[in-house]
Amino acid sequence: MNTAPYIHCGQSTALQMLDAAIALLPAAAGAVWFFGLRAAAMLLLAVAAAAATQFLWDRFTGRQELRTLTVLVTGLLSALLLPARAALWAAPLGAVIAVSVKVLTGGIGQNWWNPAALGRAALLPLLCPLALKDCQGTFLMAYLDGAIGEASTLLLLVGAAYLAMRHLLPWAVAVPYLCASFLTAAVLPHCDPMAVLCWGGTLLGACFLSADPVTTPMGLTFRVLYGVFTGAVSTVFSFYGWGMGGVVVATLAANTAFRAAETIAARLQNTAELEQV
Amino acid sequence: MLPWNRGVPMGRAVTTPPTSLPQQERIILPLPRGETPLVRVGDPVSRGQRVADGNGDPLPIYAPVSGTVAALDTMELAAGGSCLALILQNDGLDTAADPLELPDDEDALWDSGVRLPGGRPLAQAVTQAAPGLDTLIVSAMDREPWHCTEDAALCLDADAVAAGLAFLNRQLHPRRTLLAVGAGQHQAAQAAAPLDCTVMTVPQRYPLAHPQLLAESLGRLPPGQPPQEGDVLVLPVSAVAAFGAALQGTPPIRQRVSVAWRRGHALIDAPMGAPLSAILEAAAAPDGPLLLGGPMTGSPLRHADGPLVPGITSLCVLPPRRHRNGTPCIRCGRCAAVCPMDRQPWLGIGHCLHCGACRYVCPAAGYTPSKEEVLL
Ligand code: SF4
Ligand code: SF4
Repeated sequence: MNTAPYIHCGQSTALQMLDAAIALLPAAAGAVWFFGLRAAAMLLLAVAAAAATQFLWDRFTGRQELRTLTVLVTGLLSALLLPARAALWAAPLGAVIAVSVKVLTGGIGQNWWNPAALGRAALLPLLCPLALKDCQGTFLMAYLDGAIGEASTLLLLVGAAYLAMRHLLPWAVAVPYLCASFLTAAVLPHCDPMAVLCWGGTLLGACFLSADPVTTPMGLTFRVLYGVFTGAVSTVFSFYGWGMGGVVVATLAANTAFRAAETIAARLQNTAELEQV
Repeated sequence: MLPWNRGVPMGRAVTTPPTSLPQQERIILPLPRGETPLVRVGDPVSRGQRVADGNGDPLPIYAPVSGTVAALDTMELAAGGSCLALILQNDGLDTAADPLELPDDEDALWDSGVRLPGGRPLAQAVTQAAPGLDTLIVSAMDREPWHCTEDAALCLDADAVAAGLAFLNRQLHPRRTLLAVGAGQHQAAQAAAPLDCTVMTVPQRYPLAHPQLLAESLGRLPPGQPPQEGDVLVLPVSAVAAFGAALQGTPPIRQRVSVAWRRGHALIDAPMGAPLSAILEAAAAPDGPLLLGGPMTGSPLRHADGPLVPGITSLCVLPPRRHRNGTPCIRCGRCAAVCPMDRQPWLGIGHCLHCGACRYVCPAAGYTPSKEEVLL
């Protein structure tokens, strides 16, 4: 027996991560359906690489992060954010970078940047020639030229619905994100707002990258601002040629800015409280 | 999964019929506040007789059974520690003393010997709030999940509650008298209907029954000025019932104890001073770590043979648990969403009720509870 309370709701970090990974499964299945065994290989290699990297780092640092199952989410996302034309080693390499940077910046809870987004961004220089140029077409069912995870918006929506059902969907981020994407697209010349809204990349950014609790701000105000900022910036970046890369770069920029802002705000609040006492 | 951001679910508020504890041979009446015994070793006592007078807070103690005073000795208490106690040998005859007669003024509160759960005298709470009381809130909601003593007090002792409430209304002249009932306590709501008060329904979620939260949510309900601090007095209905019974002639010599475990609960009607182990036995509770109070804020039961004293209204038997290391905080924000005081627990600032709701929902908590523990 330790201290009160003596009962617990039963939720754990590992369960949350498992749920997040399950929410990615429809999109992963879609990827395999549309892109065949190559996508399956990318997904498996990425998850295996993430798990192996985490295992080795755990040995080295003495922490036990493998069992928090974050590697499942990181691995799956690392593959889903890549286009099918990427080399087969790109997905596992992204996963290794993602996990390593996460561990080196303090491990789960301390890391500032969404691991999967960071792994994908690190690969950007390698993938530039393949970047997505065109942001138009029929997006709802299958869009085959982008990242394997963005292929079907419908399947991503199924995953997002699962997240919402498990109370893991950060509404305060996702809704402002989607609104901001839509409005930004409406302002940009030659950009079809509906197409942007239905693009799988937008949904991946709004519902899945932001569902990582560690790198998304905690307070309501910060969450809304984070959603607006990321939605607007990622739309601009992806429309002007970066595709999925634009989404991850916007996510990383928002991670940095908002974690810094949050840290400063917490300091100020603490000081103000101490002065009152 | 539960919508975790609405607080902790209150499992069971529906009253079960109480079981009477079989006659106990030995009754232990601790005198923890230096009370002066009015009887000597060897004296005969009858049920309801005044056997000790209070010194620190002047609350008397009444004998719960008839028999003889067997000893005056140091005894261990359930919550830990020990103190001088009167030990009565029960003769099983249940000879009653004259019914208690209380004066019709403030002294009645002291003479009744009624204490609130936790041990504070009812009289103290009432006298402190008396000048300029705006709203009297009587709460029929149990403070913790699993338990049902407050619900039972209203359902089973509606007469006594009415008597106690009438007295309090007369003494305190509150502008409003409210009775807080949980949304699921239908029987209690029926019992409350004829009482001289306004019945208010509160969602049945821990920790909404905390006095401070009730005062905030109910005390300011009707439009108008928000009351000043101290203008709201929150009393548990069990104390009002015990006081009402004292007005009707029965001092607080018996108490209902709710014994709860994961799969069930029992309500035991026991005389003060009965050993808690006998109460647990009568409840047919499973084995496991024991708690005084509820599963959210209870404290370990140190001495199961310790006597039942005023203030102990509930016991918990916990399921065995598997310890595991937690993870670092993953910044999910669940603790802040559930906090009734709108705190951000990770900042450690602001007023905290120590309700434990934040730790209940935290996925990074320092242990992973077993599945039994999870399914309330
Ligand atoms: S911070 Fe305090 S008041 Fe808020 S949920 Fe935690 S224990 Fe309760
Ligand atoms: S303390 Fe627990 S509930 Fe609060 S943000 Fe951290 S992990 Fe979530």
